[in-house]
Amino acid sequence: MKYILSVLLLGLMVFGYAEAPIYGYFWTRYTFETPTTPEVEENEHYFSIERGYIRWKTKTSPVSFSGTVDITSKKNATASTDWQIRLKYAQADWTLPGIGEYLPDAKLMLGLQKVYFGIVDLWEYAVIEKNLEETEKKMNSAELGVGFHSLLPGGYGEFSVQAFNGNGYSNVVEVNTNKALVGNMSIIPLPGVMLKGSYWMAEQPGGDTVITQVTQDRYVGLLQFTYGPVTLIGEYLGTKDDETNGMGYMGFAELAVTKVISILGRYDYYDSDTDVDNNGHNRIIGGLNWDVSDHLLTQINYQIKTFEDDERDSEDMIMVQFKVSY
Amino acid sequence: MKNIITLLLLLSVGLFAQKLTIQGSTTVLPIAQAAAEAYMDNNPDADITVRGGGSGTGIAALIDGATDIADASRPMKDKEIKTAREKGVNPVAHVVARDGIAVVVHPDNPINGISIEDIKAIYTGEINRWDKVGGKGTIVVVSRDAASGTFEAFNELALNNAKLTDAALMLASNLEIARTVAQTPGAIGYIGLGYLTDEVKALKVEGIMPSEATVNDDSYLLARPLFMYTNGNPKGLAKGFINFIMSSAGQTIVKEAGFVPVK
Repeated sequence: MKYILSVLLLGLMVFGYAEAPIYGYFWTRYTFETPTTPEVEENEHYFSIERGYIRWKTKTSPVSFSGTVDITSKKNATASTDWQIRLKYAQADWTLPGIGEYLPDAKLMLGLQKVYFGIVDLWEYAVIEKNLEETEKKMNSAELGVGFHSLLPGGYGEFSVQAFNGNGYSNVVEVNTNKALVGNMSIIPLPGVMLKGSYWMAEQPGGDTVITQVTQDRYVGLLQFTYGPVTLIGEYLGTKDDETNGMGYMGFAELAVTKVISILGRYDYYDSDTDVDNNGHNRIIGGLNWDVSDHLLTQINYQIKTFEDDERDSEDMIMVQFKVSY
Repeated sequence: MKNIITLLLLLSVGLFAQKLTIQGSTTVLPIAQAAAEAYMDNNPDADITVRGGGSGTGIAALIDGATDIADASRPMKDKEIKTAREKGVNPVAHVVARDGIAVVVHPDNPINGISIEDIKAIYTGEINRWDKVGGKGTIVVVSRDAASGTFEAFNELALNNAKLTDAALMLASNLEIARTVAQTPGAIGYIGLGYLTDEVKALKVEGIMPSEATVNDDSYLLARPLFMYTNGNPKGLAKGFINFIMSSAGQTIVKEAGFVPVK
């Protein structure tokens, strides 16, 4: 697998260097949070580079290459080992000839690629927290495999089918144990109204052995409504890991007060095992975004997580983030 | 008292002025600028801002609600339409002009016509002598710089987005190209139809001579429509401005800017 990734990277560098502009962004974050575990009694506050993306994409046709290197620092990073550098995307897109009239922009995607699922591929971090699926560690935003993606004619939506190793992008390797299949479709019947459904099915190693395979299902229904300065999103997430059923939902609202300032709110609920009482938790986020310039977005978020279990204290944090793009 | 009244009048003009922002294609920019100036001369309450940046930039601005009209020298891509609809924007296209690209050579060059295939072979460096297409001597390839809308159109219509030869002389304007071709016996270049002069020879492309008539009836292949996109059917000042461009006065401006009127 490392060989395949190396070939993809080599393709990017050799075939695309002449016309592959480099772009990306860095997120510098300051976080103030209350204790998240009983062992930690003091409040914590720290700076971190939560994301540093270096991206490039060739303009070659019919096959183009794109890549993203993801650089992050751990909390209170003090040593070089506290920095993590990962390949997030290394993807070849092969635009399929002859079917563009019926399936616009139809392409085969090969390599480490974006996962089209629920809100995962739509989430642009309007609030600082990850989307519901990733926050609850039920999905990864990038996976290694192959996929087919196409738009629907007339801008009425899109659909995709993908097959992955199913291990995310931090640990892409697997040996014949847990291939995942993903189907995704969005329909935009009217401007500003989008309906989306996604399904992920996989077999995962059960317990400590890779011989026993257990079911891993994920499914999502999503409705997005946009009108002028208002955006509303509602999402339902269902999960099944072996015999354990989980469910959650997210509501998101954004109001653009001016062309550069917007206020945002989000409510999450997730219960990892619906058969167990008092097992769920809520997350409430309030925030403000300020587009200082085309290349600098400032975000301020307050976030609180509360638990149905009365014995668990809530966790809250204030985050200020500067997102610099280039 | 007079000063106060004057100040109040100025303030009221500022408060009630209708504002319109236009952004996008550098090809459409001269039309939009000239039309905006003429429209504001006749409508003092109108405050129209025109910016370039390219078709993609203008379309992105329309999708983000940052502009009222997006100028584009190409139709919106399927992906852009999908993104627009996703964000509640309903893009409506208005064809305000047509752009014909004439392939020109030095007047002493004996050839009178050329095929799209030969244009592509010349501009990609596959052919570098006129002997192979009926002329004499070495070919000097002259092109617009890659940032121009004319380059983008020529690259798509004639070259099928193939990579231009490194030997090409890249110039910043239609006028520079016309002047260089007129002074260089072995040169070949391309310019907007409105920039044709007697100092250069326009070639037939696939047997069709570029003209207003052949551009408008779609028989000349190196031609394209130029668009202004609005979110839904235009209203208010945007409607007035689009109507003005489509009027005979607006189409005269189109012609004076070197493009082909659509009416």
